[in-house]
Order: sequence, then C-alpha cells, then structure tokens
Amino acid sequence: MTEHTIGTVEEFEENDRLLAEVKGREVGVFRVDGEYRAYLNWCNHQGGPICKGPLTGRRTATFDRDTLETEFEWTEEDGVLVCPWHGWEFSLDTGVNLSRSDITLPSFPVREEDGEIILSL
Amino acid sequence: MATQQTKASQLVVDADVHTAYRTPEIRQDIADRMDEPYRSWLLDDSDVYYSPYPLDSFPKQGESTTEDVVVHSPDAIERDLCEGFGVDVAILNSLQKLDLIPSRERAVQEMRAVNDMFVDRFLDDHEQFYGLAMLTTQKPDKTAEEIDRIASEDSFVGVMLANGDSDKPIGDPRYDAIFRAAEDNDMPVCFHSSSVGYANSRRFPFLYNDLQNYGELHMLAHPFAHITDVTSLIMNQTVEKFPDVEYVFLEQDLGIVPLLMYRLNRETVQNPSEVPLLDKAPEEYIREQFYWGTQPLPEPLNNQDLTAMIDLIGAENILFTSDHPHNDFDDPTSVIDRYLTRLSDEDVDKIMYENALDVFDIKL
Repeated sequence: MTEHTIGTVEEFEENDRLLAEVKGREVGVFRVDGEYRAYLNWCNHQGGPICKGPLTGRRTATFDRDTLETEFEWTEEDGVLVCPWHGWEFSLDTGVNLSRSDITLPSFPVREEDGEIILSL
Repeated sequence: MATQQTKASQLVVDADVHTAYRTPEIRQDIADRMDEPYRSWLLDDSDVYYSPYPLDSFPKQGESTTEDVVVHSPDAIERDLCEGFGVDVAILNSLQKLDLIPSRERAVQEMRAVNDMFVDRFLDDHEQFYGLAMLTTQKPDKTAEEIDRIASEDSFVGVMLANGDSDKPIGDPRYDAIFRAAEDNDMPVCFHSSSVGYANSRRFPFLYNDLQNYGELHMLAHPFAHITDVTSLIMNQTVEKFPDVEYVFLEQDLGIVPLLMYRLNRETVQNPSEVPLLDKAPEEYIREQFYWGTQPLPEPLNNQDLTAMIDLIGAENILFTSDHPHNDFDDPTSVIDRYLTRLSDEDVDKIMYENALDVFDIKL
C-alpha cells in the first residue's frame, strides 16, 4: 500500500465528503465523529456510485407482544449512506449493509495528519 | 463510474426503455395532433403525477418522476443509456396510460397522436432505437385499425398494452380483434404494468388504497397484473385462436413463470370443457409463444437458485430489460457479471440480445 494525500480537513467544513480518484479507483472519504472513513465508490449490489449517495438516518423498531404496539425510533442521522441507484443502505461508520450483515463496502485505511487527509491504497 | 470487463456478450439489446410522456412539451406535441375538444382537455390536464409513494425514477431518493429525468429526448436517452450503460439497441416505450382516460373517443384519438409523436420525436433518425406502439383497449376495433396503421412504420417492432388498466383481463373475447390484428401484422404484443398505484387501482383497488408501504405495492403490483393477464390469455384460449402471436411480458418478475406454467397445466386438465380450443398444455404455449423480461431480476440469497430458475423457464424465452430510468432498473454489466455468471456464454448471448432481435425481427 502507498499513501496518498487526497484533501484537507478544511474541505469538510463545506462538504460532507471528499471524492477522489486514486490509482484508477474512485474513493469517497467521510468524517464520522471526528474520524475518517474511506469507501470504494462502487456499491456491492450493481456497482452504483455509492459514495455519491445521500446520507440519512435509520429507523429502528421494537414490538411489544403484550400491547401489540410497535415503537419506532429514528437514529443515526447522517450516519447511513444510501446508494443512489437502488437505495441500498450502509452504515457510514462500519460500511456494513443495514439489511445484509454479510455485505460490507470495500474500504481503505484513511487518517488525518497535520490537517491533511491521507489515504492508503 | 468504475467498470469491469464483461463476460461473453458484447451486444446488448434492451427491450424495456421508458420515455417521458407528460412533460409540457411532449403533451403539446401530442395535443397538436388531436382535434378539439380533446386537444384542450389534454393541455388542461394537471401535470401533477400524484402518488403517495416514493417516485419512480432513478436516482433512488425520489427526487423526480420519469418525467423529470433524462428521458425527454432521444439524445439524452442515448447519452445516459447507450453511452452510460452500454446498451447497443433500445426498444422504447412511452407507457402512456391510455386506458385510464375516461372518454373512449379521446383515448382512441390520443393513441394515434401518441404513436405519431413517438416516431417523430424518439425514433426517426436514431438507428439504435426501435419502438413499441402504445395501444388502448377501450375500443378494440379501433385498436385493431391502429395496429394495421402503424405496422408499416419500420421503427415500430411491436405493440404495447398497459395491463392492469383494461376493463377486463386481456384474454377476454372482447379483445380478440386486437390479437387478430397483431397476428395479421406480425407484431409481438408486449405487456407492461405499473407500480404507481393508480394504474392498477381500477382492477386491484386495494393496491392503491390499503397497503401500508411502498414495498408491499411494488412487490404485488406488477406480478399481479401479469399473472392475471397470462392466465386470461391461456384460459380464454387466445393463444390457440391466434397461434402466431408472440407475447412479451415486461417487469413481470421471472418468478411468476413456473407458477403460471405448472398451475395452468393443472387447471386445464381439471376443467377441459372450459378450454375446448386448447390443443396443448399451457406450459407448451408459454414455452412456444411467451417471452419474459429480466428486470427486476430476482435476488435469491444463493445465486445458484437464479440459475435454476432460468433453466426452468428456458434462456431462449428471456429478454434483457433495464427498465431505464426507473429506480428498480438493472444495469446490464451487472446482469452479465453478477446475476448470469453461471450461465453458458451461449445462454447469456440469447438473453442479452439474440432473443430480442429474433422476437422483434430486428436486423442489424
């Protein structure tokens, strides 16, 4: 692996992601709770541009068998990355698909150093 | 967009590509070909494409309807579908909901205007585009006349009915004139439904009014309409009355095909007096005269199950379809490299282009 400087921390003040092409591969970098995550811009489903998709939250639910009530909660706002092609949803933090835990976005090591975003690929 | 090398097939014929049909410009183009008062009525129609569900086009986040995305012009379709997704030949349809127009006279006039507009706007001067003429079923004798009329237009390679909208299921004898005209003119008859609830609301009102979420509607709407119409075509013996007609079903889901073949086999054997014209088992008619679009490809957890399904149906009866620009479309490269990966090269070629060229009689 080699390291590549693909942007700066300042760019995240205006944008929620960086998109870069490194060694022929498109990569999207996101910031999650002060840390960085880098994913290949290629959805596991049919190869859609996942890193260009919107961010959203997720709805969780619990069912009470006694009252027959379902309670919903909306959490992780902006913590879910949605593929713009078919709506597959992935945790921005882990890259794991919300419906299929056996499917994870390909990712790359990424870090911040002296204000620069450095990708290893 | 990242790509990977595609196995086997280098030619892709896409048998289900949608164009816009309600933009102000297109409606004006159609209206200019109609007489009053229908001309004014069309122009006065609301352009609100109302649906309580997420809208139907891609990108997924429902930012727009089919009308707002790239399908207004053939150049835009060429850029997005042919250059962007690698489709070589596209068979376009406008999926105008002619059977939902209450006035039968207007529906007939609009049918003719739509088809003339379609040739002028989307097909002329684009060698890689062919079209399906849109039909209404509201006055079958007029529909038959329309088939006779458009058959001489080389760029129309088939006709389309929006199933789910007709007064009766499509095999009802009242529609025989349509299939006779299709047979006389050697025109495949294509069927396409809709998962925007209103289009099915006439025959299946609960689909629009009673479901809790879009996934329910999308799961049921297309298969329901197609199961109904295939059953109708077999049990009303249309397939035997007009044995040279080829039927092409789009967005039906491949999963319905074994159900139809095998259950209809049983129904006809148990009720032979209901189908005295049938000479063969329904499965035989289906294997000989029926074709099925791939999109949306079923997604079993084990891809081998999809291969088994295709083997049951027969690769020679399956046509690649993208359903561009809708948000449940299938990317042709992914179809070849992910879904059909266990098929032989010969079967992949059949699905991706040979069958469509044969059924629609397209010579490249």
